[in-house]
Amino acid sequence: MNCHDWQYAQNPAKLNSRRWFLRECGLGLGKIAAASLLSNAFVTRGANEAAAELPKQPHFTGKAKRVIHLFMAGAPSQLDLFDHKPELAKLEGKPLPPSVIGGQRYAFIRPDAAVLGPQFKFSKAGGSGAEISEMMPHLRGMVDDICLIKSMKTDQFNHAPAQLFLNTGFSQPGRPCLGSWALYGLGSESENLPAFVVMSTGSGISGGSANWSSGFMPSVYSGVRFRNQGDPILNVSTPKGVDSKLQRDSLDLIEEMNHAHLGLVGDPEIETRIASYEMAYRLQTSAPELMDLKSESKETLEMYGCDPAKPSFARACLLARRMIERGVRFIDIYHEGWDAHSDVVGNLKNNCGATDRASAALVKDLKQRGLLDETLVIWGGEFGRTPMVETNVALGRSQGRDHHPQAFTIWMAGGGIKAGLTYGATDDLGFHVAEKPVHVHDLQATILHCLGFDHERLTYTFQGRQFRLTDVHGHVVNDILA
Amino acid sequence: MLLRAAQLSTAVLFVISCAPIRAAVDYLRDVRPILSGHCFKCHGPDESTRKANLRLDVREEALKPAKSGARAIVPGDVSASELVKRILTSDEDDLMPPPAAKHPLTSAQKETLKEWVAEGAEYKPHWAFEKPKASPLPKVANASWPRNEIDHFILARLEQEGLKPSEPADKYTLARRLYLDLIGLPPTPEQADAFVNDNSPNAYERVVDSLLASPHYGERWARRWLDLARYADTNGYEKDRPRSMWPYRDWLIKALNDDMPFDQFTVEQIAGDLLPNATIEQKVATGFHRNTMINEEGGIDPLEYRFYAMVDRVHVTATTWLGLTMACAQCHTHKYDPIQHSEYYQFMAFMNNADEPKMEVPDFEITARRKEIETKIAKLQSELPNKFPPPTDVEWITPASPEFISTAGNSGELLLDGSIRVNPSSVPQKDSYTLRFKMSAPRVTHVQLEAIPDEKVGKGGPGLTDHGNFVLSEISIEVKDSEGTRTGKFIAAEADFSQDGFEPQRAFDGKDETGWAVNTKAEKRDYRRAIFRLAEPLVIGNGPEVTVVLQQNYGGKHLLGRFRVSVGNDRNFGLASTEASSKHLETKFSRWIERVGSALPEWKALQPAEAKSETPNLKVEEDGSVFASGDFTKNDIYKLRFSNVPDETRSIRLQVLPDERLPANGPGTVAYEGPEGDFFLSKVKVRSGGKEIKIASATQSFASGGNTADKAIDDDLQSGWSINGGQGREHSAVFQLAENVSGELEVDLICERYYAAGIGKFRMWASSDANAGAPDLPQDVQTALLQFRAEPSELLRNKLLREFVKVAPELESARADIKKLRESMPKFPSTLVMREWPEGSKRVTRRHHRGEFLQAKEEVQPGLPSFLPGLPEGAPRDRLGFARWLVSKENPLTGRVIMNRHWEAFFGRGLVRTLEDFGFQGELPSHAELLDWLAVDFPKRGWSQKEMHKLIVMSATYQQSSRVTPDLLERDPVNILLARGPRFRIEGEMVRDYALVASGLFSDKLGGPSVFPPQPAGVTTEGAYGPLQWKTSEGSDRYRRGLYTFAKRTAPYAMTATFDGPSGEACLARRDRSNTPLQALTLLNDEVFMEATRALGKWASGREGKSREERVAALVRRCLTRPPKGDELAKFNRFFAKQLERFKGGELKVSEFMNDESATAEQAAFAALARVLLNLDETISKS
Repeated sequence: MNCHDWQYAQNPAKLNSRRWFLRECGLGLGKIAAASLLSNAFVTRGANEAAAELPKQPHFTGKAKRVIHLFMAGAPSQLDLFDHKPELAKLEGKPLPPSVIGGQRYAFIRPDAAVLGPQFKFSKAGGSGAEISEMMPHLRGMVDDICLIKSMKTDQFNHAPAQLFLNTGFSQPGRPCLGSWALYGLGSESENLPAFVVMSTGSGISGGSANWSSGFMPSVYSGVRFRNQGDPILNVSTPKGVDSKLQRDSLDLIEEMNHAHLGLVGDPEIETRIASYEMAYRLQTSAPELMDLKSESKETLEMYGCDPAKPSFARACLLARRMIERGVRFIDIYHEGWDAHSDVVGNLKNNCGATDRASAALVKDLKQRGLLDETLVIWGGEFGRTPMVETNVALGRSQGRDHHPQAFTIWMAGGGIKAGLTYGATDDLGFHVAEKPVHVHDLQATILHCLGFDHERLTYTFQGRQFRLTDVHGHVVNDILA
Repeated sequence: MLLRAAQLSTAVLFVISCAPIRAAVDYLRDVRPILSGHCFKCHGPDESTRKANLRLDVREEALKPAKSGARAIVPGDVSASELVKRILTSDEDDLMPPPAAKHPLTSAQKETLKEWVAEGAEYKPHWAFEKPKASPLPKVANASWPRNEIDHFILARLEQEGLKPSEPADKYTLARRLYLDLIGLPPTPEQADAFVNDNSPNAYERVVDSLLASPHYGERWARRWLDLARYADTNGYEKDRPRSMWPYRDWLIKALNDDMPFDQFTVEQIAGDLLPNATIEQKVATGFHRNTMINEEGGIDPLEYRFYAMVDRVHVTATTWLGLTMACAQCHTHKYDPIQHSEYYQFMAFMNNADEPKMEVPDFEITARRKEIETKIAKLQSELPNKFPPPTDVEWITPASPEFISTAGNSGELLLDGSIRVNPSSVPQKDSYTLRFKMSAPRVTHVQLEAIPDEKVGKGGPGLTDHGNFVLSEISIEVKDSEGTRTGKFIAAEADFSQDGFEPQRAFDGKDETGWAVNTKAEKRDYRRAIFRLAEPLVIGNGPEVTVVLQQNYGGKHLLGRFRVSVGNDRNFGLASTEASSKHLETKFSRWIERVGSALPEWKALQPAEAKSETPNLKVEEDGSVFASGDFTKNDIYKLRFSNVPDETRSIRLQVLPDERLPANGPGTVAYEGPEGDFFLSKVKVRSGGKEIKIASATQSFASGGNTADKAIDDDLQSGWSINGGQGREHSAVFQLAENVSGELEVDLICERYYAAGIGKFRMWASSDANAGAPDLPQDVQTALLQFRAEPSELLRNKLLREFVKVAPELESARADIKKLRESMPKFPSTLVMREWPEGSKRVTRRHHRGEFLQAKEEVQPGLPSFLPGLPEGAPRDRLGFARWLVSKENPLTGRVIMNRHWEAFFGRGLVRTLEDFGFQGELPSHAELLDWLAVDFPKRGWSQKEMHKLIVMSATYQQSSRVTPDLLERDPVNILLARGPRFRIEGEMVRDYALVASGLFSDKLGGPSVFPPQPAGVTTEGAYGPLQWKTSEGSDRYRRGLYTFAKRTAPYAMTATFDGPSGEACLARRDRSNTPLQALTLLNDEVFMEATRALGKWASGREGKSREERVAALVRRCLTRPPKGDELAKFNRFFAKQLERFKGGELKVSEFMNDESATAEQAAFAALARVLLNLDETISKS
């Protein structure tokens, strides 16, 4: 159960007594410890401050309890994967009319660059008949489980600002990301694992850690990196020469001492410290258990295309499913490398090869385990790519596509999203959104809606202002809700 | 009054804390938060969104009748007040706030407003916008408790609430508290004992004074300021490249250690460069606002990100000094505070008139070392003429029957003249020819390659391309005899002809993409020859095997078709013959003057009649050169007009010039993403009499790689001329026109690149010579050469000789030492600073509609929000005037904001909790009179931060025990009233610093470049777009204070980040203090803490002549300062004994735990205990 703001408001002094908290809220120490991973500070802050940091009451019952965001960083080419534009083939080699281009600024090309037609074959897939290119055979196989949004648009046309914009609603670092808002709203469900996990499987995330930062919110809402080399969570394994008995002995003595100190000085914060050490101890078991894929069947590994020994997008997806099963609230998987300024064909071959199968498997797997209904899966990049070709001898580039903020495609599945739907459309040249535009703020509003929150009411007060993920914008895309 | 308690859901605590509960409604405490939170958005300062023309934040406005005659507020008359009606109505159409706003009033809030109106609807001015006044010290009952003024305020309030202050903390606790607060490091047991055992009345004060004088004081307080300054060692965003910024950090430490008065401290950081005769340090100080991020992503608009940096500067200035949330007014008039949208940009305009250069910071030691090297170089240079070798006397031998091997498998035909004709069965893109032959000669000093035209080769040779060119990318020679294999090292080369950028020297530079080429033209195939000289002769003796390899890896079939290789022996090599040498020098010198001089056209300087560009400022300087400054874009067109072009001008020359105002001394302006100091000239257009003049060809004195001047006359804007590698020197490009011009001439220089790449300084020249070239000689040498040929003089001769010996190939090896010395020249560290635009030039600041970069509207002038006092009469309306205003006596905010932040550092909570917001939405001060008293006292004490710190720590309030009784916990859970001392976790850097000091590993070195303490390499590489190889520092740099750890914005140091450290991406006024399992894992398992643990184990074990109990106790002292108490010692001993047994018995491996083969079980057991001690809440908390 949740303890809501109004309770604290009426019991300001009591709030700050941990004993009261334990008794009145019926939370065991485990729950407290879990909360301490994301909302630990209620004992040292004033009542209003503390109340701000406790899980909120959802504004309504959200269908999604958890989120997996497959962030295709670098921006995949929608024109070669999802948004079929035969007209471009006809115009190949010619510039687009200036009336279409308007005042758009581009990162590298000149707006009058020649058109580049679709590089792969498209055809209808599944019962819904969504058009998907041949590069995504596995997605084609489960297209009836997803909702394609072909009318996405953003304000930013460079990677770092656009990635930050998609994650935090703002183009520069400093604001809380989607995952932080989800935790801020819903709290944690896991007693043994961080509630917000970040993995990455490619060449580098442009916006860096600001993408999973809690910004001006307390730092406990930040994502925790799961790493590909060494400890999955930094320092989760005991150092060489420390066996489990020594670790237990040490923790016992630490706890004993902390208890004694608590008795002496009476600061409830010490209790949180004690809980955090207990949870750290459990984390040392739960993290390796999570990472150990031995219990996964051959069929499952095969379905994801996962080699348990090697970090990969497939392994990250399989781990994400395992995290979902263990109560992790929000998972970001960054796959970077879609930035096809040159050789869009080769780029897509590589990246689709690395991601198509596992992305599809993740949705399938969640579905067959009955987890998809409560898990929202989002797949997509930070913007789209130009209908025009990028060529630059000086930079050694040819047959690429530049950044394109006006239109791109993403897909979503599960967690309250209508399956088998293709939403929105672009014009014949794939340049502008022609129907049902979905701005990044709309996407964010919709994600929060799936989690049970009205994006206009889920606010956090900082510097005298009530901040929202969607700033002052955003509309829920009701048509895609199940 | 329960109602009141329940209504204030957003500010519950004030009920119990800010004032005793009174019957009357207080405007500031009770009413304004409601109005501000629910009403001002539509009925507040922002005119553009104001509804119904009703304004509620100003009393006169709220009382005015509306058009309808209705009055929002009628003081004392609830039923006549529309406001009351509207908030109480059940009619959804009339209800305020409108239900659609989703921000309804609670019934308690409605009740408060009603009561307020009933009581007369009094308004009060916002406390923080009024000048602070020092009220007399409040009277207290317990007159013996206060130790200074602070205590009067605190105690008076406690007595009001019926509370008593706590006992003083024990002396160990006080020592630890003082050390951690004032210098950020724990005391050693000895330091603590010195205080504990000192019973003199001023023992405490003496510790305080010594800590205030410690150099670590500056480090401790610098870290807090760096949070505000958003300091980091990288640029941020995608590329996140390293930057050198630590001189600013070191300036800060020094300023704090010197107790620089806060007004000066402010002025130097905001406008140090504008102070009269600004010192280097004062310029370094302006780095405060250069801590903004720089986006180097290829696709960005540099002006857009400069705008964001300005926005950041406004926010950071407002937060740091004024406690104002200016950010809101970037997009529209502030919804709560009286800041107009345009005022935001007026505020920005003060700071928006500067360039953002990098500045070298001369350092005494480096200056001395540079001087020393320069003296040596000057001496060696003056000796160069004496080192001139005697004339070479080369005997050439062409091997009679060399074996020819082509890597690509082609055959070669040996011709009668000893040359080889390659007979390609297929022409590969690249190939490598090997010639192997036996020969007898005393030695080899030279290798000669002749390229011979031949009808049977390709389309006429000498190369295999259609146009006959080739590129010899690398040449090598090797001798093999009974003594083994020796490789020759080439040092110099000359050729009878070489293509620009393809000089023969490039055939032994180790690079495949460069080499010797001859630029053959289709219609003319010339014989070409290059001679390569070895640094040392290869001794040959009798008949060994010699191998010469000609690598041709340029690609595109640039291969030799017919060629001859000869080896030569210079009979004079190594011969010292003064007379022959000086004669030789004379000969070569004369020839050089003849050769270079005769090729020099006479250039006439062109004086621009006009030089302009859309964005950069172009200024014609006195000598006719043009200097570009200000802002640069990715496409800058310099439009030049000349009106006095000499008759029959056929060539024009663009001379690009170095200048110390430019990055890396220029001549270009590239400052980010591309090579610093370079430029990229993508196109040159010439017009005369309105007609486009064709440029026939172009050549240059220097170019980087293939970026030659002819690329600036092709139609491809992506190619062009650049000079990377030649920064800091002048260069020229000569454009040969297709026809004569005279009189009027217009020249467009287009600099276009995916980063801003304008030329910084240049001059144009004209010549009538249609074939004018561009020798790589500075203009003054060219002038001297021409003068000397016309009228020789000793003076000119000496000048030219000095130049000649710098370039004479014969002195190549003699100059090697000079080259080495040059390379060993230590560089000055650099730092980012502000530099005001030159007088007379001004960057226009505009209001940006909705705060958007692309929506620049009307121009604004520097100015301050009208609710604040303005600049004094006659003050300059620039950064300096602005900086002085920030710390002027008239400014009501700065003193309060700064003192409040200091208060927070000591007590964990500000007197105003919202450190960053003193506006209408900020919280009210818990002790308003105390805050004002401090704010007034601060400037009175000469703005001395040290004095204010002393005042705080000398107070009885500060020295209380931090024990929390259940009663206090109930009454004042977060210690707002300060009936007890502060207790909270220390900051992230301090957690690590603490362990380093306790373990004795700590390095107390001050300042210098940032360091790389241990952390897993993956933190800064995995998933980072701009990966940084985290090369762990060696030696004591592993153990420096946390503020010296290299700060990478997109992947911050993991340990500090786990403990709520900032990323440096945004200004941080208040650090979070979280308490998480990840912190537990760090303290338990991280390498840094394990190293500290091991060092402590060894230290404890090494204490000779002490009992085990004494050693354990000593360990406790190291970690907790205090001695063990109660049954602690017994517990520790038990733990120690148990682990000792396990280590001894081999259950636990000593060498693994200690990471040391020679460590003992006892050391390990002590270390295991130390690990526990370093993990205690008590250890990482200040209490």
